[in-house]
Amino acid sequence: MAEKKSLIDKIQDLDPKIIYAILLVSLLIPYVRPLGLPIPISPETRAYWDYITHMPPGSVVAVQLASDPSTIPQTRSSHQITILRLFEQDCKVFFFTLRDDAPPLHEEMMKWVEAHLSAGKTITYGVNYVNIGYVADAEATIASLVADVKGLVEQDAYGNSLSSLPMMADINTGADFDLVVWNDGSRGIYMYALRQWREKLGTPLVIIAATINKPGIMNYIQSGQVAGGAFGVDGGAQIETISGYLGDAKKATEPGSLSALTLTILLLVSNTIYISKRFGKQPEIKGGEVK
Amino acid sequence: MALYKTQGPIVVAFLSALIVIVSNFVDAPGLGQLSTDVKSFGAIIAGFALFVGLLGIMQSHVNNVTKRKPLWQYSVLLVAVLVLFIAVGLAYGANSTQFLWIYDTIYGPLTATTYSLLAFWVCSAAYRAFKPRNLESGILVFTGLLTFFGIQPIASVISPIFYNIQSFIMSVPNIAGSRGIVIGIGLGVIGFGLRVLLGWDRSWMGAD
Repeated sequence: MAEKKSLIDKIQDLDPKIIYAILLVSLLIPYVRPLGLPIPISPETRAYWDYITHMPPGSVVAVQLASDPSTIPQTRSSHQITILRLFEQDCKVFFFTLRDDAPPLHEEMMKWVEAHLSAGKTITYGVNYVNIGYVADAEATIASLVADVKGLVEQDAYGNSLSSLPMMADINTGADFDLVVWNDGSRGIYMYALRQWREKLGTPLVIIAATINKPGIMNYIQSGQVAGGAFGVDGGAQIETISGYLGDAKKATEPGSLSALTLTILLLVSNTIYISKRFGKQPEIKGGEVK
Repeated sequence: MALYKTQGPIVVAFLSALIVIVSNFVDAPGLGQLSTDVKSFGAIIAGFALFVGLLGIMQSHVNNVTKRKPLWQYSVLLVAVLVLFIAVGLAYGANSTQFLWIYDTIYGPLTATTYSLLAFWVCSAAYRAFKPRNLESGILVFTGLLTFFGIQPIASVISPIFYNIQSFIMSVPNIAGSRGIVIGIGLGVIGFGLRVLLGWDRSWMGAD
């Protein structure tokens, strides 16, 4: 006859389905009852936003998008609010992407940007912004782009000759850009921009990325090589808070927060049981309570 | 084996690298443009690699279907959607309403869903495996928990100390450790690059 498992053993060997159910409930609670959590602003996100807001009118900014549908929920808010702010400040924006599945995401975000421009503000393709679309994902591509923009691509994403676009008249190399905004997603290819653009030409670099890339990028923020960064949904929520623009990131932080709290509690419980068993102190159950 | 097969690629790689490296240090007439052209060749080859990858996927999954390997039905689905994307993209353009509709209704939701499911699997795996079996794993579990939890807004509500601890871990030990790793990787890349350029490492050519 199989030995009956104690409650402690059952908790330690919890069925994954129960864990999934607990996590699902914690994800759904904020949608039923919003928690109204405060959003602390991190120094790197503050530095990122300060850099964007201090770009003078007429600045030329390169914006790269390497997020895909799986990571765009983390970076969408930061990315589109950044673009919106750059247009509001009369900056010229040069778009490109190193992901073959990112161009539709760019088009979607541009619709949001155009819908949220302030009253009377218009942007014209070819004058205020240019989009060359997807370019091959390789450091050689960035090196080539920095060396000769029109040499790498002769046409934009819509078939127009780059040389025919008014905005591109004075843009020939990477040195003609005043800032690079690099949306890295979760790719970890920010080193392309760091090595080929920032370190070679001194062009300032700011990064938007998924949270998983934050530890690596913090190196370069601390050393001053990257001027600032917005990471994950929290970064997006921080950008929304300090910019005043509404987005989805703030709403998304609450389920993330509660599920993180749930996971932390589960891990504390499982580790407490594991450590107590490891050191031979079996918890006793008296009156329905663990002693 | 013919000399051009064994030595040719090494010579091409060496000369390409030499042009790009020297152009960074020497401002000779024509060298800058030559270096730019070499980098453009690299970008073109990288683009071509995408096409080669596409052919590889097609070959693999068509093979699954013809030989009726396990789960071949999914290979049929993959090839069908692949052909649909290519056909619509070529017929209407990659920025057309039709192509974007397929992207928004098939690709986008599937990718987002797959990534979202990771949250549940990671949670379950962490519950079972994230245990301090020795001193090093104990430190990992402890700091991982503090960092993971401290970064959340709810941690600041419970106590500001969690955010401060997380911030300290990210700013000091994390950066100290990862800087060492990055320097090591950089030195390794230099070493590997030299081996490739001098022909001592031929693994990239498919040789042993």
